[in-house]
Formats: sequence, C-alpha cells, structure tokens
Amino acid sequence: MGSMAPQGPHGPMDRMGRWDDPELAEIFGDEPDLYELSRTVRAARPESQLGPHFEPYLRAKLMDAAARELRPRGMSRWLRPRAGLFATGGTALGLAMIAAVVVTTVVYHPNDTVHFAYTANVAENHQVSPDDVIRVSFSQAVDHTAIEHSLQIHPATAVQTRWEGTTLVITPLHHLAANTPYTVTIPHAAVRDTQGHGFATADIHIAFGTAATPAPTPSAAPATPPALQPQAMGPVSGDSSVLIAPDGTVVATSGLVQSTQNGAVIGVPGVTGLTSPAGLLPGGTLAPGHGNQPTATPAAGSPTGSPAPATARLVQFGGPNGTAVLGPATHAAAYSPSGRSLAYLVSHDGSASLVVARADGSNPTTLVRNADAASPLAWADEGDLVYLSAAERVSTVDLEGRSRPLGGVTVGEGQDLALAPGGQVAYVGPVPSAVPSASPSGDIAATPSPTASGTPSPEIVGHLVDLGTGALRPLPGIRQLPAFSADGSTVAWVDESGTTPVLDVMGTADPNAAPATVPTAAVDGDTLGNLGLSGDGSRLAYTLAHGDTTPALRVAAASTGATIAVGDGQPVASPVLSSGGDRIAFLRATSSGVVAAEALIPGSQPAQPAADAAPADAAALLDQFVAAQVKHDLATLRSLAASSLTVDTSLTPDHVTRTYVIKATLDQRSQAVTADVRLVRDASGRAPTSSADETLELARPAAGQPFQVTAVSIADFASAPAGPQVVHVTTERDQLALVVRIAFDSDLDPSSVSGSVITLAAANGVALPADVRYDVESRTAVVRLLSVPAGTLTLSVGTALQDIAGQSLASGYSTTVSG
Amino acid sequence: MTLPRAYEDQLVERAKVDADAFGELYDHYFAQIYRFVYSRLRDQDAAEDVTSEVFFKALRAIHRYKPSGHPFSAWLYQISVNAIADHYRSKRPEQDLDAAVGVSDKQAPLDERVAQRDEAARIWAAIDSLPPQQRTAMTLKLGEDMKLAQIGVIMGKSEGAIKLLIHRGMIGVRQRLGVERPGVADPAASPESV
Repeated sequence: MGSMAPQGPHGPMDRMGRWDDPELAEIFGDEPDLYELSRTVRAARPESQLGPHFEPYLRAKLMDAAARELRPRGMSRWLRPRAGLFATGGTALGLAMIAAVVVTTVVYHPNDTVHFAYTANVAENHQVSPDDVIRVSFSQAVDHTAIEHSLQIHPATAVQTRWEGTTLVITPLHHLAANTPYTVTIPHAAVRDTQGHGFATADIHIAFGTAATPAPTPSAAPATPPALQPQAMGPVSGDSSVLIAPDGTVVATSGLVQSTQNGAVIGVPGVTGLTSPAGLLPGGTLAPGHGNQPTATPAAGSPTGSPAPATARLVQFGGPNGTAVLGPATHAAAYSPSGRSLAYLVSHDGSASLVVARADGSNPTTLVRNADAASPLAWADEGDLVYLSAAERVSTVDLEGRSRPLGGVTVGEGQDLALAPGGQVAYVGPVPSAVPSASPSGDIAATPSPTASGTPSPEIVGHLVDLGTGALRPLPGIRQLPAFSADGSTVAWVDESGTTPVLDVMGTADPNAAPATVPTAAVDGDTLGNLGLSGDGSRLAYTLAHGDTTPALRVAAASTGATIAVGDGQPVASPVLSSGGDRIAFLRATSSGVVAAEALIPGSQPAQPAADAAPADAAALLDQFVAAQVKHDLATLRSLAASSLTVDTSLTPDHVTRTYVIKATLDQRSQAVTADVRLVRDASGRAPTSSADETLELARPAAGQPFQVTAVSIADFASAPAGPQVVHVTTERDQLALVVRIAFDSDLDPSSVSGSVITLAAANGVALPADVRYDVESRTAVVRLLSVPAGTLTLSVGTALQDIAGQSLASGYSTTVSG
Repeated sequence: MTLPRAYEDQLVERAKVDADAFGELYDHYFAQIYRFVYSRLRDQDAAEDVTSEVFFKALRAIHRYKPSGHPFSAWLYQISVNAIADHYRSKRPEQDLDAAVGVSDKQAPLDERVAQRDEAARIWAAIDSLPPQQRTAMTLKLGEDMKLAQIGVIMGKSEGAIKLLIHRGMIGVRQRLGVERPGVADPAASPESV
C-alpha cells in the first residue's frame, strides 16, 4: 500500500514543496526536463475570464428550456415534429438561447453575493407572432405570487400565468394583438425570494412588438374571425345532445316540453332568450302567439290549459310546424343517409329498444329490444343500422329486425364506443383501468379537464376498429370521443398525451393513413374538447380553454386549422356541424336552464365595403407609403407621391418601428382619400413606446389614373398613453345594415362597451339605435345599425370605455362614417 | 468538490425529468466546465458560447445518459471536447503556429520567461498549437489535474494512449517554446496522427 502524497493548497506536493503528479513523474521518468516543464506549464495555466453575469444568465436559459423539455420519456410529445412547435427545429435551441436578451443585476445579500439574471423569449423582438406566449426566465427561484400579482402588461391584456420551474409563462387569453408594441413590467420589489430578499435593483421592463398578420386587404385590420350569433331554440335537459337534421332543423334528444290539460305541448317556461320554444297543438301545430316569445305563460291556443311538469322528449326545433315531438327522450338518435328515416333508442329495464320512424316521428317501429342501454347508433346505409347489443357486441340490424354481430367486436364494461356513420368503422376506447381519470367531455360548465394542470398524461390509446375485419388502428392520446364525418370516412380526435393537446384528423378507409395535425392555438396546459366534424369533413368545431377559463368555441377549417368563426364567449357543449359546415348547433347554459341553440357560420355572404371605404388600390398605396417611411426609402416615397409634395427626411422620422392605418375614408364627391395613420416607436430598454399621428391625403391626378399621396402631415411624437386606444376602424354593409368595427389595442372590460359609450349619431346630432357588441377574441367593438339614414353619421367612442385594468380610453375618439 | 457518487447518480436520474435537479448539476459543474473550455479557447466570448452549447447539449441528451461507473463530469467533459472541436472546425480551421506561439527566444532562461504574465500566455499558446488530441489531453492533465484514467474515459482512449499523447504534447511544447535539448531529435516537429 502506497503512502499518501503530501497535499498543498494546490494539489500534491513533493518534499521540496513543489507541485507533484506521480502519473506525470512516471511518464517523464527518464526526462526530468520534461517533468520540470510540465510543472512550469501547470503553474502558468490561465485563469479563466468570466463575466459575472454569464453564469446566472445561462442558468436562467437552461431552466427555461429544462422546464419545457424534461419530461418522462414516452410522454414527451415535443419529440414529434409539429409545425410551430420549434420555429427552426430542436437543434436551434442553443443558438436561440445565445440570441436572447439578458439583463442582469448583482445583489449583495448579507452573507453572499447573488448574481441575478432574467431572460425573456420576446425581449426586444419587434416581430413576435401574436400567437406566441411570453416566457420570462429567472436565474434564481423567486416568489411566484409576488411576481404574478404585480405583473403589468401594456396594452392591457388578459393573461393566464403559470410556472415552469423558474420560468414564468404568460399566455394571453385572446392572443396578442397584431402589429402592436407591448411592454411587460415587473416591479423590482416583487422580484424576491420566498424569504423576501430582493434580487432586482431595478424594475424589469420587457419591450417587444408583434408582427402584422396577413390581412385580406393591404391596409385592413388583421383578419379576425367573426363571432357566432347563436339563436336559442328551446329548453333541453342537461344530458341531451343535439343533431342537425337533413332538413336543417335542430333536434334535441332530450328536449323539455310540457303537456297541457287539453293535450297541447309547450316549451318549459322560465327560459330566457328563447326565440321559438313554441307551443304545440296536437300533431305539431304551432300554437298561435308563441312563435317568438318565451313560454312563461300558458299557450294562447289553450286558454283552459295549465302547464304540467316538464317532460323530456325527442324534440325537433324550428321545423315547418315549429317545435315538434318526434318521440320519447333518448340518448342516441340518427337520421338515415336520405333523411327519410329517424332511428333512436328507447331505454327500458336496463336495456334499450331500437326504434325506426319516419323523419317526422310518425310510424315508429321497434327493430330490436336487446340493445345496450348506453348504445350509440349509426346508419350503415339506408336499410341497416349499427348498434351495441346487450351482449356487448357491435351488431347490425336491417329494417325487418334481422340482426347479426359485426366483426366479432365486443365492448367491455365502461369502454367508450362511438359508431361512425356508414357502418365501416367504430371507435373503441381503452379499458377503464388505462384511463387515470375520466375526461368531463360534454360538461356544459366551464370545467377544465384533468390535463389542464399541465401534467402530462400517459399515452392513452383508443382504437379505430374495422367492423368488417376487426382490424385495429390506434388513435394516440385519445381520451374523449372522436367525431366522424357523415360517411364515416374521416375521424377527428383530441390527442391528450402531451401537455399541449393536439387536434388530429385521419382518413378511416386507408389502413396506412397517418394522422394529420390540425393547427390550433392550444399551448401547454390548455384543453381542447367538444369536438364536432361537419358532414363533409371540411370543418371542425371544438372548444379551447386556457387553464380554468371558459372554453371558447371555434369553428375551423379541417385542412388548415384556420379559424372561421368563434363563439360569443359563453360556454357550449356538444357542438354539431351541418353537412356543409355552414351551420352549428350546440347546448348552452342560461340562467334558467340548458337550451339548444344554433347559429349560422358567417362567411357565406361576405359583407360589402361601405360607400366611404377606401378603394383597394388606395389602401395598397397607403401600405407601401407608410412602409417606405419606416425604411427611410425616399425613392419609393417619391414614386408614390404627387410632384407637388416635397419628399424629404421630414417624412421619415427616426426609429419608427411600425405603422398602422387607423381609418381611411373615401370622399365620395371628390373621390379623394384621407387616411389617419399612427407612426409608432416601440419601447426599447427604458425608452417607452411613443407615437405620432399622421394624416395622408390621396387623390388620382386624373380619372382612371393611380392614386398618389398629395399631402402629409405628421404630429409630434409623444409617449403612448396608459389607457386603451382605437387602432382600426372599418365600415361595411351587411345586406341593409351598416356595420362599423372598432378595434382596440387592449382587452376591454366588456361591461363598459355599450351603446351609451359607443354611439352613432345622425347629421342632426340625434343618436341612432345601434346594436353594440364586443368581441373579446378580436378586441373589437361591432356597431350594427339596421336603419341607416342617408348622409354622414358621427361615430363617437367615449372615455367611459375601460380596459380590463380599469383604465379609461386614452382619449375620446370621433370620426364620420357614410350612412 | 466532487459529489458523492450515489447522490450524483440519484441527482442525474432526477435531472432527466426535473429542471431543478438539472439546475443543481449545472451549479455544481459550471465552473469546472467553463474553466476547461476557457483554457482550450482562451477567449471569453467563445468560451461562453461553447459552454452554453455544452450544457444545452447535455440537457437535450441527459435522458440517454446511463451511469457507467465514471463521474457525471466525465460525460460533460466528453461533450465539451466535442463542442470545442466543433467550434474549431466552424470558427477557426487552422492556426498559424508561429502566430500562435510567437517568435521564441531560444537563449532566454525559461524560468525568467514564465515569471512574466505574458509568458504564461505564451506557454499555453504553445499548447494551443498542438494537434487537437494532444491539446485536449494536456489541458485535462495540466489544466484540470485529472487522472489519466479519467482523461481516458473522456477521450475514449486507453491510459497508455493518454500517456503517449501527453508525452508527445510536452515534447511539442518544449520545441515550440524553444527550450534546447541538444543532440535529441524532436519527434513533435513532424506531423502526427494522434
């Protein structure tokens, strides 16, 4: 056993007190000059130079990345390439980190020196996608509550916050506004550890701006999907579902009706907002006086009748005879492909009977009596139905009642089953033990699913079953029932295996078809649910919830994920789309109960520009001109300007980051266009956002010639005000109505947006009765005037309008619009 | 300071799914990894870039890490060696040896030269000019005081090969610094393959 070498402060020492390394001594045993040289080399080893901020800065970035990426293997959906997950792929991670901005402060604690740093993914980036989340990463553990409570975002933006390790993730509830400068501020006093020791010596300011999103016309506001305007159809029980019949009417499987003493059936009283819970006479005839009013009073056609307790029935709303009872309440109903027949299940004694009737509910015929009590139902073709037998076997039955099992497919107790129309495939869910907790799909309340916590779920795999062969195809991550197209050739489902839910669609005919992901705005911790697919498979309906917020309804193109329409902000359940995806029906809660509702999906009849809207070529010229101003491109400015206009550097103020056209108006007499433009200098470092208003005049030198800019005036730059601002105003004609859309940079307090704050006045100053609504998704107030007088109207937005932070409109806004 | 092996193994396992555990590994190993990287690059900006790359590579790959009886640091050093090589490949393909070492004064006593700060830099510039593997072995031995076995793990070579690299490296340094050894041919003067 060798003896321990003596140790000096810098390693082992020899007898003379010099550094000694036995391994090197052995290597250079015969060459003492080399061993001596090795001592010299070691003594001369360089002291590393390291900036004091680098270590905490790198730690902050690592913690941010680690919080996102360290997951139990097999659950990490980020490994599966998806558009938008990594802007430039996973290998860009390190490089992206280097490009990030870091601000570091050094704080001296009583016993230690703490180098504190933070980084933000968006800092000093003025082209941030409006869909991005904001991530602020701290190098040290900080007091979450203190930071969340003091977080300020300007313009005011409703956000959800969560923590991933030492990274604060800020998710705007309605995305960021496009083409907008933002500042995130965290007061330095809030940046402290849980013992209250402060880290930051100055407030944290994170300045960034968003990119302009493509717009349908060059100077128009960013395209924002229109909000649905649902129409309540009638009351239903909470466990009802709805379907859209081939004739376009809405059918509730468990609609609530009342019978009167004389046999009439009316809707349940007390439900507000109904437009046609109409009274029915025997045979489905609409009772007089009940076409468009709530049924709080007895039917006029039954003066002696007194309402009986509500009963649930299979009910058709909005048919030729108003509301009609088609049969007893059921949990499953389906129209045949031709629309001539209606099948439904009637529960009794723990099982169910399968009944087929005419589309109007007449001539009901029972085909089988041994269906499973919870069986779904689908038509294989005009003469055959698919259902689940009481023996838990997927079976088919023809109209003469001859049934046989299909593909040997059995469904165990508690397993989900969904039957695709067409009878070719079915969905069979995983056995219950494989599912950690049931998803509350179908809940009408704004209840987050268990996955909303951000905790990844195990890979739940339900299967698509070929009912002919019994062959299985996995649907990864499925926890809720899928949706099928009308012919069953397309299936859509929500993959919840990762922390970010994913919407997938897939063809069912090709066994080798791969799922295609439909882009959504979902981010980590969000919930997708209430899936519906249009009959032709072209459109999807789903709800998206950020954390525990109310799920927001969206209708999107199945091929691109582009949002076509959004809900009105109220929770919905069980949405179904019509065959062509142009109508939607769903359930919604009201203060007095659940109702079936339907809405047209906007877009089939595009609105027309108003008479005073700037022509498209003028709008294009405007965009080119202001873009050239930002770029200091005098040559382009000269090419777009009239010869009478002096083009010099006074038209190109320094440091302008972005511009937007607030309003462009055509003077119908002179055919000149006047545009109100805002030039914006984004915040940077400690310099706040500032802006200047600009007015441009455009005119054609002669009829038929292109527009030119004839006059420019630019006001002085000033710091951006604290309150919300009007950023874009457009006018359009929607059939006879005049529609004015006023977009804001901030999330507004919806209760402050009303007809008393936003007014349209006639030339004589009299306020006109306009309908004013606020669309939270697009931060847009929509003013609709049905009776439009001729002449010029004055639009006014008062300072009583407030953002969600309680700040009043920065300044009153007024403009004219053409009636 | 070395982490107790059992604790380190547990910490690494946790770091596969837990950001805080990864942060603890970072806290423990940052300084020595940075020092090694810096001693190889001797440029602060480059050292910071490469050190970042090392830890991000470690983050991306830690789920594949399996304890092999060697300290976790050996794995980090392996990543560092590769990252440094990548850096040289992409940023600085070849260095002019004379420019790196400077014009040597063969007559001045070595002790006097190393007594001066710029001479310390000159000595390590001589190491910089060595072939990459000699440079790595020399840096780990004389810059990091590592055992030959540990260097072997990092470089994927036997102890004997490491000894050879260090021996040849030291001869190369002697030649580049102009230390005379009359009558002995210098093997480092010719290109080497290791």
